[in-house]
Amino acid sequence: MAKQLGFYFDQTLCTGCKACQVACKDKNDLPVGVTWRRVAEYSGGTWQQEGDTFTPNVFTYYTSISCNHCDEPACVQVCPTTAMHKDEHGIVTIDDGKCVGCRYCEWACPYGAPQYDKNAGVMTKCDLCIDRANAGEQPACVAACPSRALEFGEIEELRAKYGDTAAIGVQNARPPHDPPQPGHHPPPRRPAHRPRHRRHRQPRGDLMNVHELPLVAFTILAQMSVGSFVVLGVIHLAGIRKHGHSAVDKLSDPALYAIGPAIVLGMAGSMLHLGNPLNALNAINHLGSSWLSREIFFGSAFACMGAAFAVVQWRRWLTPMLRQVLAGLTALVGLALVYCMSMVYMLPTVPAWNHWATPVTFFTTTFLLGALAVGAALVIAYQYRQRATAKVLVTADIAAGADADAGETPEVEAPAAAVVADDADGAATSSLLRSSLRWIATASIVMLGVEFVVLPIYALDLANGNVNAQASAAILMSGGGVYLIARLVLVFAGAGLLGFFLYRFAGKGAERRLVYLATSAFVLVLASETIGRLLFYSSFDRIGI
Amino acid sequence: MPDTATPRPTLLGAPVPRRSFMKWSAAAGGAATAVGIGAHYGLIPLPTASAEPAADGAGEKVVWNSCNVNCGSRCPLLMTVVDGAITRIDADPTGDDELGSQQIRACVRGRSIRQRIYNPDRLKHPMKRVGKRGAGEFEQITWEEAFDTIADSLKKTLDDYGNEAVYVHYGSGTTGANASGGTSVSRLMNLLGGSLGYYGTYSTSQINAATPYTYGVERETNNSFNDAVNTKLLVLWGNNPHETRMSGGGELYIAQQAKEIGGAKVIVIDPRQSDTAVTMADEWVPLRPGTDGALVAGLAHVMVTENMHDQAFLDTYCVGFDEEHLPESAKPGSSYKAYLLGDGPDGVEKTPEWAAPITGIPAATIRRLAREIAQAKPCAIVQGWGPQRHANGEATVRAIYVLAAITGNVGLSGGGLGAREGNYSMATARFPGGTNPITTKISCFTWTDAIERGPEMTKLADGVRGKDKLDVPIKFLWNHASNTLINQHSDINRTAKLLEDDSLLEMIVVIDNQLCASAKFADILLPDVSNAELTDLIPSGYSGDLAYAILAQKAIEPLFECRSTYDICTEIADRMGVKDKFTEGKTLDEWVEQLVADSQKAVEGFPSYDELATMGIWRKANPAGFTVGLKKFRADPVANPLKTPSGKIEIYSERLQEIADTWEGVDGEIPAIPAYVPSWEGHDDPLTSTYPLQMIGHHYKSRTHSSYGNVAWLKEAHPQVVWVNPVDAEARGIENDDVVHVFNDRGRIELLARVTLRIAPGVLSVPQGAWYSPDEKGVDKGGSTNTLTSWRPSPLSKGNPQHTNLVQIEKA
Repeated sequence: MAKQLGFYFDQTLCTGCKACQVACKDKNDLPVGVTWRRVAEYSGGTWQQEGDTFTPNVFTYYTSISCNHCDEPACVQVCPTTAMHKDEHGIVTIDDGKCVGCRYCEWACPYGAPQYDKNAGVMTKCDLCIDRANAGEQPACVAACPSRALEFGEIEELRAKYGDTAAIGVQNARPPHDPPQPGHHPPPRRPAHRPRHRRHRQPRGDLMNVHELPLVAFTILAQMSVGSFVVLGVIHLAGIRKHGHSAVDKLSDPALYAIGPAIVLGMAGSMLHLGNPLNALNAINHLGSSWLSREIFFGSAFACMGAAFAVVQWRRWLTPMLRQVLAGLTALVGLALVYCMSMVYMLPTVPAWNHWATPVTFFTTTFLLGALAVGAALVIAYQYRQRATAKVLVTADIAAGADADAGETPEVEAPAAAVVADDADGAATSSLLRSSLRWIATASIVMLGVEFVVLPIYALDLANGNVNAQASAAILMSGGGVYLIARLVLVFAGAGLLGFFLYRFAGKGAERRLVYLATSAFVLVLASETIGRLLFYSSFDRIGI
Repeated sequence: MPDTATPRPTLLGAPVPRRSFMKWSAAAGGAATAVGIGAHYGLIPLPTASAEPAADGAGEKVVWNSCNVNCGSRCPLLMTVVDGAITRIDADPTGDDELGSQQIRACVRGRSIRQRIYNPDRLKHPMKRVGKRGAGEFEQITWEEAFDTIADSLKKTLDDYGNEAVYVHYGSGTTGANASGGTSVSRLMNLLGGSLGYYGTYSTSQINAATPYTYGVERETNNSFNDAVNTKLLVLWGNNPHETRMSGGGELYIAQQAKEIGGAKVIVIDPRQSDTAVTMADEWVPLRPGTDGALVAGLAHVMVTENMHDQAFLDTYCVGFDEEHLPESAKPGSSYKAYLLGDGPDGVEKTPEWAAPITGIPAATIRRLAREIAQAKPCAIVQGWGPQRHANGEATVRAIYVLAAITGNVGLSGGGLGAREGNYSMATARFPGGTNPITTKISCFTWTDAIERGPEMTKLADGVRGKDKLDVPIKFLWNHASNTLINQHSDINRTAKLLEDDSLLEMIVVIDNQLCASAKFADILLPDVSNAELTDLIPSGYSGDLAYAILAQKAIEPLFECRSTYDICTEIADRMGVKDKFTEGKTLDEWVEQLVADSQKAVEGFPSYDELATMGIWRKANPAGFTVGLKKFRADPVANPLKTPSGKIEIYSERLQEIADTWEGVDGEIPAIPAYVPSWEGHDDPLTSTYPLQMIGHHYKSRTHSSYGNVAWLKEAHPQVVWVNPVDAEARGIENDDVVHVFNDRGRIELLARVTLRIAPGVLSVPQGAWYSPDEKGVDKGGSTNTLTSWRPSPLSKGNPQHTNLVQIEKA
């Protein structure tokens, strides 16, 4: 195996001219927006004013960085397709044939090395100009630097020459000019200038993170599907004992069937997030390392098992016990999906996401939306069924009356018999429905409580965190926090107020009122959770360059 | 892309291709949505290295060429050409990292030259103006019609007004070019009886005019940066090689290396913490723009009162320092020492406490600096061209010279004159422009006056040289490789208004290869080739004690209908009856061969044409080692006098006093000693109640003046921003990256705010050279500094005071 190659960068010489950046662009024909080598300016310090005079204590330095071809690359670890890999020269490189352009590596790298090419739909990055290296030449950036601030070669040789700390070469160390004087100035809260090459960064206050709408849709729909499935499962198990199979099935089947399209739509929608969906099947190549791979795996498994269960339930195949086992396994797979989804976002490079609030709120979304969706679905399906039954009764009466003279009784009697039979179930169904709604209302209020505890703690943690956390906090609070407030108000109204009334009227209220309550609660909370998820994505702020 | 032209389809040629990709697959059971996401570069697509090879197997070749812009350096560029298109740029592969043989690495701008050569703004065909001048509305014409129109107009101007009504305008876009550059235009005019000339340059008006009154000549060579290995203290006074001499073979690299090797301490005096300050300064001393003369006075006061000045040097080599060494004609109290000690006419002692509130530098700092500078033996004080480009720039220049004299550093290795860094050059042959039979000259900056009120301009009031007054206004203007018609000249709005009136300036001929702001004001617009499309012998620029020559060879065929300036002038010469004299029977290529042959005669060791074509670049290091200015004068001032009246360094200049006494209507002051002259629109102008901020315009890494200003990679790397201190920004609710307006009575520009600690409070800097781009309300969306600068010329040189401005800033 060839020796690991790398760069040496002498920050004391860099003037921030970006000849390295442009030479790389020229050599690789990169468009505006794809920058394999980036140069950041960092500046801070203070000015002292005394009357009409002023004295600066200002430090500035530039950092030129392409890719560090890390020993343990974060991008390789998170890549779901194994497109991102480290080759035999130790160069971290991308296999175009596998890359789906999900941009997860872009989130994970603190150096900004993976660069998305929107025309090609795949990720691109510094390849250490291996073609030039093989021809005995320097990489384009190294050859370009007018100050000779960059060197290239075997990393062990560079370390031997310059020392092996990443910050300063030990043997030939030169102290930076104008080093910050401790005690003379507070550490800057924010660098005076931050580089403007942030792909995901939206203008302040712009909630419509259009690029991530597919992910918003996917996560909401997937979590809602899992939650609905679990809630239905609970209703099923709890309801059978009291109300019997038939009532439970009648009540819950329509809701069950509605889950399928939701999860499928969600997963299809997530494909819109990819630059190169043709390679999508590769996304489960990296189960051993990538939470994204795991998410796709469990998502697909949930969709398949859920579909299988729906078919089996519809056709009443197998035995009820076996169907329950299948449902239970499906539910577990669904919960695993939500867990993997939340772990995808636990990236050390994104303080806004790398917080225990992420998995907690993903699960509260799951159960809150799942519960209320089921509540609305149950009550609507029940109402629909009641109307259909009433029609049949009326029709039967009329028909009975009309045909009595005709002397034909059997056909007239059957519907009546069916109606009578239904009637026996009807009471059980109604009772099941009402108790389900009460439990749903209760669960919603509990989930609301969890959100109202978790979200303020999360927001405070961000506000007190590092520079990027604070930037994320600023985004959340942009526009005076109007979106955040809307999100909280809506969920309070839906889950709290409406949930409360749903609980009350579930006991003895008219079904029509229950329909309004349950549906409105669901709609309000769906809106709230969608805003919350939009806030989640737009508050993205990655550490580093 | 800033572009307010409304060209007919013929101007901009091929439409920009849009590439749309769309691939979505239907998900099982789910709705398949098809979304097209188009992406476009906004450029003619660059030829890429993966271009299909031609049927004839043309293959790949690598050609030596160069970058010829006015950057102060001069870099070779290796162009990889595949099937007639340039696919990649590489730098000089010869040379090493040693000073004297250093590799000439191109800067960020040269690296992007493909996007300049293949830019959509390339001019493609000869054009004639239709519609109002400046509207940028053109119609394509044939070359024949273009040449005929120009020749007819030229003849008419010469008949009606004479040769002094013709002006070859200042332009520096092809400074590095030799036979292929603007000299052809001057040569043509010189063969036709001449034209109104100019003195000075937009870079050096004030320093060129002031230096003779101290050192006797316009440009007296200072010590090189190579020589700075021998100094103890390098004071870069308004000098920023890292952003004004950016070649990796030029002063940027030499200065960095000199410090590495020599270990000198470096002090940078600049309102901005420039990139030079970032990597080289041990101390950054910011000051209010235009107050350098006051700082010098404060420093000199300390040196004199603490007896740290070099009295022996002053006695032997200078006149005017003290009362004992004044010329006869000088009044008592006119010496610089009297000025410092308060014994002069103003009676004010120039203590550090006096200088502090003016410069913004604390008195204690001034004292410390004075002691450091005086006690560093030797000390190299090297001024750049920033301090002189002010309304009071001429006095500033001479003040900094005085500091070098007071400390006795002139003529010593490791010391210097206080001028800009010197360099070695060799006598590479230049394309002969001939001599202008007309000796009448105006300042390069006052051509607008010469259009508006030419016959009113006099020697004593307007700096006309060679004649007592102008007789005719400028009626016909040649604008070659120049954006100084509109973009780079001051007060763009006022200039545009003047130029719109075609009864004043009747004919503007523009020869350029990009549709820049100035090109939009053409009456006849001619497409020049880029330097990649022809061969020329290119001399070196400023690269310390190394000179070189490049044979820049034709890499690609001329694009579109473009033709070289030499060819254009040949055709016009033909119609004017001077073709043979103009060409001397040579094509452009033959001229280049001639120049190489002449260089071989003039420079020992200069290679032959074929050798140079293979080598690409030929180096010659200074045979004398390091350049040390006025070495002979220092060794023996009697045998080697300066070209001043006294033969010595004139701290007090009789000739300046005479000018001050005889010139009329001087706008400002012309002191005989380098006194500090408070300037109009300086920090204490009453106008600060309306426009409280001083604005300067630093040279920007992104461009060379306005060249390269339309290159996408460079605009991405370095967007146009205005530097503003957090104190000034916070007071106005401005945050970094906010869209802001900077404005005064002369105009309003829109650009992004760079809130940074790297600039002094009370000062803004708008990088100069951005492409002027007015919207329908007249707000310049390109962010050009010259929308805000003034026509008022500096008093002695009648030059451009582009760093003297008062403005206000607000969120857009």
